[in-house]
Parts: sequence; structure tokens; C-alpha cells
Amino acid sequence: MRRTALRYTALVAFLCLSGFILLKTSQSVQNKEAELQDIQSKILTEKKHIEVLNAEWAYLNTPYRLEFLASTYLDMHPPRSEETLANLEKEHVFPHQPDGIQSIVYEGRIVPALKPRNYGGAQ
Amino acid sequence: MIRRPPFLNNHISMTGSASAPLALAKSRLIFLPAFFILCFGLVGLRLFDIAVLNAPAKGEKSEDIFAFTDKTIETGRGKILDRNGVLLATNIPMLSLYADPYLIRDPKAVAEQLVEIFPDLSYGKTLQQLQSKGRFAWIKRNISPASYKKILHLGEPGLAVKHNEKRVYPQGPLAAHLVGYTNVDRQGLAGLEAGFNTLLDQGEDIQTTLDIRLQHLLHKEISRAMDDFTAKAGAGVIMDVKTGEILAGVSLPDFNPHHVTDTSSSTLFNRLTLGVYELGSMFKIFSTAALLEYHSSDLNQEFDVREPIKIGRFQIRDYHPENRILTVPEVFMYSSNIGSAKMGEIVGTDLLRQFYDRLGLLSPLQFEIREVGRPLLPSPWRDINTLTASYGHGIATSPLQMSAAVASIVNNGLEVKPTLIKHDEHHQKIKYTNRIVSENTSHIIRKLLRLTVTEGTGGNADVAGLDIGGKTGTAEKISASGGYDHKKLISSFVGTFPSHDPQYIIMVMVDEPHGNKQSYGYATAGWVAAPAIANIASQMAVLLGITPASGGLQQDYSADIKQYVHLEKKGESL
Repeated sequence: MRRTALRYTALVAFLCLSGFILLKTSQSVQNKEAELQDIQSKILTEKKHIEVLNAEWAYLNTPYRLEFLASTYLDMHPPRSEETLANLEKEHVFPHQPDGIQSIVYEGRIVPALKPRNYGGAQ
Repeated sequence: MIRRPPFLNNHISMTGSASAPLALAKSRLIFLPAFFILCFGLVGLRLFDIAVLNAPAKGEKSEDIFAFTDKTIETGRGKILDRNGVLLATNIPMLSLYADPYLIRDPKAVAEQLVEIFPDLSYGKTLQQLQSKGRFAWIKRNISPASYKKILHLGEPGLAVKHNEKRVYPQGPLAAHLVGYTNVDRQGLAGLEAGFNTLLDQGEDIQTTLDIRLQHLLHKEISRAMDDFTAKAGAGVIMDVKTGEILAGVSLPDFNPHHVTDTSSSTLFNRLTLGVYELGSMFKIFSTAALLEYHSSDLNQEFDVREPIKIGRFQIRDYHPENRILTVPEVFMYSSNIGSAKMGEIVGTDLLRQFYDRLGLLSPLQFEIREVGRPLLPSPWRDINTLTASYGHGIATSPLQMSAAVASIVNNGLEVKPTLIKHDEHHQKIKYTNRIVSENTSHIIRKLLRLTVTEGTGGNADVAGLDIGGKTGTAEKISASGGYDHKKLISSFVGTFPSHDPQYIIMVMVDEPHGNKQSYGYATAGWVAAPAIANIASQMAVLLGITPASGGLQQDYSADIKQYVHLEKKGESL
């Protein structure tokens, strides 16, 4: 009689434990799914932000705008073939040197030594 | 001893008629635990299957889950990129503001605040919308995030936004004809947007062969030529000779792809691929190649161009008359119509037609966008048409088709097919093997092209150290009353460089240019299109890092054919 009661208790305990583990697993899966959805939604939002930033970057870097900015604020123009040819003999090739703007070698690169000027906008 | 399950281990013993139903009930009770055990067993087996048998290796992502993830995230229309990854077309999330008038307590105050945020809104109309009886009214579509922030600060529960996506073209009109545009439902209507609509709809990105820097360059120079010569329209292309990749393609006037509905059909018309034009003397490249290929490659063959060719009431004259006997290089560099017509006559109608067909000039171009023009050919093709087709009259092709045919000739005679889609870098580089002309013919044509620039009609296209070769093409347009209109020209130039091993083809076409002071009133290709080619090539060289050949390195590729060129007055070779 006692043995039987023990066995029944063990069986019920096993069933309860299994049920609990199942519930726990199910809960944790549900939590993970919610977490996954949350992450997905965050990724989507970030991706959309990145797309907007990329579009803005492309818009601000259109060749037309860059050329306009370079000619307006740096007095730069595309070098002519003759200028390139004339500079081939030189050690450092810097095809066009705008009036009054010297070139300097900075970290191994030739850059215009232009003193920044305030054009009324952001500095 | 047989081990029995506990529920069968009963201590109640019955005998007689009651024992049979009890035994039956007990045996049925077995099914319930057996069922549970089976279920757990199945779950256990499945877990074992997922966790052990099909376990992903360490660090490897489970494919199923992430396939689902990607699918869930990538929902927008695919992007269109240039060859360096610069965005040509993309989507940006937009917000559209609407109101629920039922929830708005003080419509006047809200309307005032809205007009303050969006100055283009009318106060009266907004107030009217906010006071309407419905539950929904659009206030403003596609608002900026900054405006949305201001709306949120109002704290008005009756204002809300809907999320939507908008197709945007960051480069604006640049490459608009090739990239194309979509309708409000983001379905492609023209260009690559239409040609690859299904792929783009599936969220696939498309990388084109275009280089936006070269696109700008070509656009700028053709626009300048059009402005300088007050021309009606223009078109042009820069193509990689070896692969057929289109680095830049322009049709002018162009349009803003964001405002297509306000654009005229003439502006939307793609003059590069859909428009067909009689491109004139450029066809002399093909008739000369046909002569060298099918008749004789002797450059000393002579052509008497002193008298115009008369067939019935029709006369073939020269635009730059030399009035003497010319050799092959002279016919080419002075662009003699009479000489080219005689070349066509020697080659014969059948062979010339066959040759043009092999160059792809007699049928529509196979291309990735839908806007492809069908060439206009003489019908029926009589012998007189062979003569005129030799110098590019009576046969109309698209500028792109013409560039591809020239590329096939200068690419060592191997056929080149233009493409707008960049091939995967993992794939092998495109290699063309279909031979159109022999290597020898290709060499001679390249020398003739160079000669045209150094000594002939294309002098304005020359750039120091770049070894440019090219051919002018000036054709009169057909007038409304039939026949040719002497005042309306199509001036074009096709250039290739470096001549000894061409890498690039540049073509510029200007529609109805008018002569100016600088050109002494001329509106021919040598004045209109050739300088544009020189400007494009010299700036291209800087962008692409092509070092001009200097001093001793610079050899004139056409030097050895100059012996066939005679100066009329001095009677000597160049």
C-alpha cells in the first residue's frame, strides 16, 4: 500500500515537473520570440535611418555640388592635360595651385595650405 | 518476475460478475498514461532532432530563423547604385500627417499652430478640414522628421501620422533617362526602374555600370556645347571598349524624376537609346572598314572626288571639297562623301548590308532598358542607298547603337555589346569573341581615327598626351516637307582613346546647333562636338588616373599612314 502510494506520488511529481519544465520552456521561447521581434523592429528602424542618411549623403555629395563648393570656396578647377603633363616631371604632383594658396605636404599627402575663412555659414 | 505498472498493482480483489467490468476499466486506464508518455516521447525526439542531430555548428547562424528575419526586414523596393555604390535611386520612409476632427477640441488654435509649422498650408482650408464632421482628413503628405517633432510637441491627440515610403533619386536629373522613374505606387515606368521592375520589387538592389562622376562630366560638357551653340537637344555616352560597360549616358534636355507629371513627353524622350538619327559621316568608319575587309587593305587606293556623283536628279557632293584624287586616309580625314560612296560601290550592296547587319546597325539594339529605337532603313534598299549609306545618309540609328558599332571595330574587331548592369566581380570579366573585322582592319581604322584628329576635321578633339582618335559626323536633318534642311544639323563626334589600345569610347551628339562667333558661324561637328570630346577626355583622364604620355613617350599612332596623305598645294606628304 505504501509502496503504491510512493509510486503514485513519484509519478505525479514527475508529471508536475515535466509540466513545469514544459511551461518554462514555452515561456522562454515566447520571451525569445518577443525579443527577436523587438530586435527585428529595431533593426528595421535603424535600417530606415541608415537609408535616409545614405540618401542625404548621396544628395550632399552630388558631383555638381562638390564641384560648385570646390570652385567657390577653394578656387579649384579640374586640371587640364597640359598641367598634368607639366607636373609629371616634378616630385610632388599637385596639378593646380590656385592664386595665393600654397600646397603643403601633410602626412605624406599634398594638400592645399588654405587658411579656413568664414563664409557666413558653419565654420 | 514480471514488473507491473503501479496502477495495475491493485489490492482490491473482486470475484464474480463485478470483476469483469473492473478489469476492463483498469485496462482502459493504461491508455491515458500511455498517451501522455507517447506525447512526451515525441516532443523529446523532436528536441533531440533539433538540438543534436541538426544542431548548427558553433558560431553558425540557424538558417531558418535568419531567412525569416531577412525577409521580414527587407520589404522596400531595391536600390539602384552606380558602379562605385553611389545611390541613384532609393526609398526613404516618409510621414504623412492626418487629423481626426472628432478628437480636436479647439480647431482654431490647432489650425493656427499647423500653419505656423507648415507655412504653405492655408489657414482657412486647414480650419475647414479640422471642423469637418468626418473622422479623417489629410493635412499634409510627406512631412519632414523635424516637422513631425513639432507636431508631437503640440500634444494634440487629434493629429496623427501614417508611415509610407517614397522613391527618391538623390542625383536628381543626372542619369534620369537611364535610371528611369516610378509611379506613385512605386512601379517602374521607364529606364532601369521599368526594365528591372520585378527584381526591384522583390527588394533586390541593382548595381549599374554608370560612374556618377563621369555622368556629371558628360552632362556638363554636352550642356555647355548646347548652350554655346544654342542647340535644341543633345545626347552622349562614355563606354568601356573592352567590356561594353556604359560609364555614362546622357540625353538632354533631361528632367527631375521626382516631378515627372510636370514634364513634357519631348523631355522624357530618351535621345540616346530611343531616338534614331542620321548620324552622317561616322558611317564612313564602317564603309572604310568594309572596303579594307572585303576588297583590299591597300591604303593607296585612289578615289577621284573631283566631280559630284549624279544619279538621276540626286547628287552626292563633298562638304569640304578637295577637288582631287584622294587616297583612303585622305577620303577618311577630309570626310569625303564622294570617296565614301565610291567605297560603298566597290564593296557592293549585299556585302555592305551584311556588314552593317553584323555591326548591329540594322536591327534594334539588345539592351537592358525598354526604350530602344528601331533603326530606319531604306526600303527597298537600292544601289543608290548603298552609296548614301556609305556616308551615313538614308540610314538612322540611335547614338548608343552607333557607339557600340564603333567600339566593335576599334576593339581589335571583336563585337562589343553595351550593358548597363555591372557583372558580379566573382564572375569572369566579359570577354567578347565574335569577330566583326580582322585585327589588321581594326588597326588601320584606329590609325585613320587618330589621323582625323591630328590632321583632319577632328582637330579640336585633340588633348596633349591622350592619343585621341575620332570621327566627325555632320548630317542635315530631314525637313517637314521632305528632303534635307540645310540649316538644321545633327553634329556629332565619336572619339576613342588611347588610339594604340582603345579603352574608352566617347560620343557626343548635338541636335540643331547654331554657329557662333568663336566657330566663325559654323555649326559642324568639328566645331560643336569635337571640343566637348577634348574637355571630357582630359577631365576623365584625371578622374580615372590615366597619365598622359609625355615627351618621348608620346608617339603618334597615325604616323606611318601619313605617307598616304598628300598636301595639295605643296604636292608633298605630311
